[in-house]
Parts: sequence; structure tokens; C-alpha cells
Amino acid sequence: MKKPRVLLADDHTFVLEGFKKLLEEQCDLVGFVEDGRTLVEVAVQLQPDLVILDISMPRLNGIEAAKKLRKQLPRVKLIFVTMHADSAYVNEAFKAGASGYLLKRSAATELVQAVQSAMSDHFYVTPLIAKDVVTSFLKPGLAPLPTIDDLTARQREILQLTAEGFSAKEIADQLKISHRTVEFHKAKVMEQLDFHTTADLVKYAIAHGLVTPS
Amino acid sequence: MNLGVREWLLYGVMLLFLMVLFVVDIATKHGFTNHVLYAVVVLIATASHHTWMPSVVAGMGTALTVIGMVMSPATSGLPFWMSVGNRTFTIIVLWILVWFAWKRREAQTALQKVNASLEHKVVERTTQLTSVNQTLIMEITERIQTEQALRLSEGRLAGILDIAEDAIIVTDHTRLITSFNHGAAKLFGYYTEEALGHPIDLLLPERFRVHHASHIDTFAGAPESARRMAPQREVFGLKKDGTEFPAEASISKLTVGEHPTFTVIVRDITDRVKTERQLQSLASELMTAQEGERRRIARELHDDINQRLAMLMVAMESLLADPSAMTLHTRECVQALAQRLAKVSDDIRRMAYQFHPSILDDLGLTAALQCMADDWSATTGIRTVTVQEELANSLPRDIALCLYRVTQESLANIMKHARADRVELELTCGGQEVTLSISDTGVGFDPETIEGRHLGLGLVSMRERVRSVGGRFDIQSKPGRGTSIAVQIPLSGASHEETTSSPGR
Repeated sequence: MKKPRVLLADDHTFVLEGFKKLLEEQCDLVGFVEDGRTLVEVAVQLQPDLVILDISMPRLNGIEAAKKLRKQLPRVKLIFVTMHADSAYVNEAFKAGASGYLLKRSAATELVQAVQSAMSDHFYVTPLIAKDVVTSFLKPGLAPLPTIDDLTARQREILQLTAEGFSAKEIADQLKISHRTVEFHKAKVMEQLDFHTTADLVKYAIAHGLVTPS
Repeated sequence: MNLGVREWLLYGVMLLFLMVLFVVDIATKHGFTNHVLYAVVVLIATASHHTWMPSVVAGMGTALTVIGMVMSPATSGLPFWMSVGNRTFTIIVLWILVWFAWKRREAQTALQKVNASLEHKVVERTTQLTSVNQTLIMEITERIQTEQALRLSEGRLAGILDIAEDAIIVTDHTRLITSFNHGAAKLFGYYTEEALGHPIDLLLPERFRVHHASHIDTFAGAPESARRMAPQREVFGLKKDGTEFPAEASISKLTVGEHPTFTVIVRDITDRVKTERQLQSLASELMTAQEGERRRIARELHDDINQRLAMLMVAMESLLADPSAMTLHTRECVQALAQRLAKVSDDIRRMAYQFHPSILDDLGLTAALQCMADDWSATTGIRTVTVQEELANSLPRDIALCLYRVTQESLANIMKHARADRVELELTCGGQEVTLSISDTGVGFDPETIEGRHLGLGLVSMRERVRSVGGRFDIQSKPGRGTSIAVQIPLSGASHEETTSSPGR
């Protein structure tokens, strides 16, 4: 099997050194860069199969760099190797098009495996944080259907006024907030409750006693 | 002479005359009209103080004249009617005299009466005059006393005005300066004489003049008698040399008669304003410096030490990966070390995160807030409802950090004090500003009493932090009604501070 062409991006030279040792047998290391912006430029030139990158990097962080990379090189595989264990980072990383996510401290045992997974079109998440990630993915599914309790006081106010027939502009004037903010809240409530028309909102408001049907 | 004696003497003289005249009459023949001399006696009778005396004498005269006609010897050749005519004439004369005497007496009485009433009037008038005079004297005394009191009071006031450091200026209802103390002269650079009689506009920068006039008119009609001028805005004064200075001014009015007069006290607050500005900028610099330092430490910990630790672990694991490299015992030791190293690395990561939330730089404010809210909910068990608008452009770093720190501080306060069961967090970006609001359903507090106590310092630092990025910080709370915090930060770069206060020259 042909060795994958790999580009490494991390602003710490000793990390790059470490990864180099771990990967040089299995991969063809085509380049090393130390910031996000250079990463994008160099990757476009070198067209690697895989990019291993950190999130916290100068000039352009890894997430933003990943988004740009995916736009310019849609087939490139991305593996994040970072210090960040928060599921928020993992979410953002996969949204940006990652194939793998692992922590630096477990790189020695997991990096090669992650590269192999990515190259065979699989995803890899380090077992160290897999539990958090899965829990966070499950949360919206496990939660009961959104209720009126999931709305903030302001959202309920806007829902009520909308149901009472006021326009967004009139609501904005009454609540002394911007027209745009009213529109945002209205759209957000519709999205949260999975409604598609204002009529659905009115029905919901009546059902929950926010307004009495005239 | 005694009145009684004079009267009796008069009677005697009259009787004597009457007898003599009668004797002469009867001794002389008819035709001699000596009887007419009875008139003399009647005239004498008018001297009596009895008004009736001339009438009595005239009566006696008449009787004697008639008797005399009978007793007088006849004269040959003289007709009888002539004698009767003579005597009738005498009688008529007598009574004419009585009539005159009576008239005269009447006139005298009337004159006496007039005299008497005149005297009475004079007495009355004199009494009135005396009392008026007394009143006048009293009034004059009173006035002198009042004047003295007034002078004393004026002197005291002048003394106060003279030593007062503040400028004290009095204007009449047409806004003309009627009093200008030393303090005013010193502050504005005009001599008192120069300022007197000029409109108060002399001391105001041109842009405030129209407003000032209308403010004064409003105040003239207002029920209160004193107020602080424009307490929410800065007031400026204009010196003679054309320079302006920030001022604090109070005004009071006094209405005597139809028109009010106004007293204005002006104080130069240049130094105070300067000190306040310095303090504010110092506070903001301090905060920036602190954040910078924290960021540096966080970076040091996270990006350097922690990376090195991670690489140490990578090295250890590489070591462990080779089964022939060490004995079982050594392997176990190294594994334990690796675990301890992982723990240290975790601790350092947490510490770094406290110093500076790198997620803010990496993933942006909304992700950072969501993450913070989720973690906080998991730790405290308090439900959070988060609504965030995805911001079209990433926020400037200082604004994002400010909103993050305010949220952090608020959540910490809620955990410590509020005993809330629900927190709502909203981040919206309407128009040209970003708005963050955090409200809880907790016990709330009275903002009047809490400032300056344990919550106070946190609130002050939040307020200061928001102010330093040009935003507005509001906190509303009532005991039992929860607390809500609202932060609004303009994104265009124009700050609330600058738009609400009057611009400098």
C-alpha cells in the first residue's frame, strides 16, 4: 500500500519532532508548518492526502484553517491532535471536516491508528474523550421534546406578542429592542419548536395559555 | 369789673335817664321832640348781657312817650296829629333799635357758635396730628432698626460672598447679572464691575446659551426653589480669556414682588473630572494589563509547559510500546508515572483555562459561553436556558473577553448568593450593538443596600470592565424577584460614554 502523503501543522517544534518520529515509518511526511495561514498556503501547493494539525495556532487557528482547507481541497483528510478535551472543540473540529480527533498525550499509541482510520474513510475519536463526545451528541436526542420551559422570558414575550398579532416592528418598539433581535428570537423559537409558520406559533401560544383566543 | 355790679350800674343809669327824660318831656310843651332821646337809653340797654333788656327798655320808653303826650302842656297853634306823629315816630325808632339790637345779638351768637366749633375742630385736628406724629416717629425708629439689621445681614452676606471659593452670581429675571462675588471674579476672570449688568450668557459657551435660557424659564415656573443644574450632563463655563471649564452648578430662585431673582453657584471641577478620567483609564489599563498577563501565563502554561508534558508522555508511551526495553516492575513504575503526568497536565490545563479561556480565541464567544453554561449547569445542577445569535463577524477580542468575564462573574454570583433554580442567558446582536442578558429566578437583592458590600466589588469590576470597552451595564434586582444583568456594547466603535456626555471643544 502506498504511504499517505502527510503535512504536519503545530506551532511547537518539539511536537513536530515527536510526531515525525511516530509517523516516519508509515507515512510520507511532505512538510511541517507552524501556523494556520501558512498551512493553508502550503497545503494548496503540496496537495497532501492528510493533514495533522493543532487547534491553537498563531495567525489562524486550526478550526478556521480546516474550514478553508476543506473548501480548497475537498478530499484532504484532517486529524486534529490537540490539548483540548472539551466536547465543544470536538464538535467544532468535526463540523470543520475532521476525520480524527485525539489528544497529544495519547498520540504515541493512537496517532498511527488514527491515520489508518482516516485513510480508510473512517472516523477516529480518542477513547479518552469519546464518552463526553457521545454524551454531548446524545443530549438533544435524549431530552424530551422542547417545552415552553426551554424558552427564555424574552422569547415567551415575543411569542405572546406575535400571537396577539403584533408585527415584529411593533414588538421591537414595545420591548425597546431592535427589530432584528425580534426577528432573531422569532426565528429561533420556530426552529426550537420545529414550526414553519406563524400560525403554528399562534396555536402553540394559545395551547400554552400565553394568549386567549379571541 | 364784676359783671353783676356793671349790670346794676347799667340799670341805675338807664332808670336815671328815663326819669330825667320823662320829667323833661312833661315839662316841655308839645312840639318838642325830646322824647326821641329814649332811643339813647335803648342803645345803652344793648350793653346789658340780657338779650331781653333792650325790649324792656323800649317798652318802658313807649309807655313813657304815651304818658308824656297826655301830661305835656299843649302848644297853641300846633295841630294834635303832629304831636301824635312825633311820638309815633319815637316809638317806631325805639323798636327799630330793639330789632337791630336783637339782630346784632343773633349775629354775635352765631359768630360765637362758629368760633366755638372752630376751636373744637382745631383741638380735634391737633390730637390727630399728635398721634400721626407719634406713629411717624415709631415708624422711623422701626425703619432705622430694620435698616441696621439689613445692613448687618448684608454685611454678613457680603462677608460670606467674599470668602466663598465658589463663584456666586445673582441675576434678575431678565438674566442680567446683579451680583458677582470674588470667587466668580477669580473663576471667570472678569472684574465684578465688568460683569455687572451683562447677561449671564457672558459666562456660558455659545452652544449652551439657548438651552440655558429655556432651562431658566422652566425653572422659574417650577415649584421647587433650588436645584442642581443638569445633574446628568456636564456643564461648562466660559472664562474671559475664552477657555472653557467643566463645572458643577446649582441654582436657587427667590421671588420678591413680581419677578424672581436667581442665585447660581458655580464650581470648577476640572481637577475632579481629570482625576476621575485618570482613575477610569487607570482602572481600565490595569484590567487590560491583568488580562494580558493572564493570557501570557495561560499561554505559557498551556502552550509550552503542557505541550512539553504531553511530549513527555508521548516519549514514555513510546518506551512502553517496546516490550523488550524493561522489566515488568519498571514498566509498572513508568505507567504509574505516565498517569501522574496526565493528572498534572490536566491540572495545568484547568489552571491555564482559569487564567485565560483559550476557547474564546479558538472557537469564539458563542461556543465559549455555551461551554461555560453547560459546565456550570453540570456543576451546580441549576438549569440554564441559553439563546445565542450567531454573530456574523467575530467580535473584537476585548469585547468578547468582557462579555465572557461578565458572564463568568454573574454565574459565580448566582451560584454563591442567588439560590436560583433557573438561569436565562441571551446573547443577541441587534443593529450596531451586541447585547448580553443574564437573568435568574433567585432571591434577588436590594441594589441600594448591596453596593459596597460583598457583591459590590464584583459589580463594580463588571461595570468598569464594560465601561472600558465603551458599553453600558445595567443591573436590576428586587428581593424575591431574581436578578437580571444587561450589557450593551456598541460595535461601531462609538462608545456610550462619549455619546451621552457633552463633547469637549
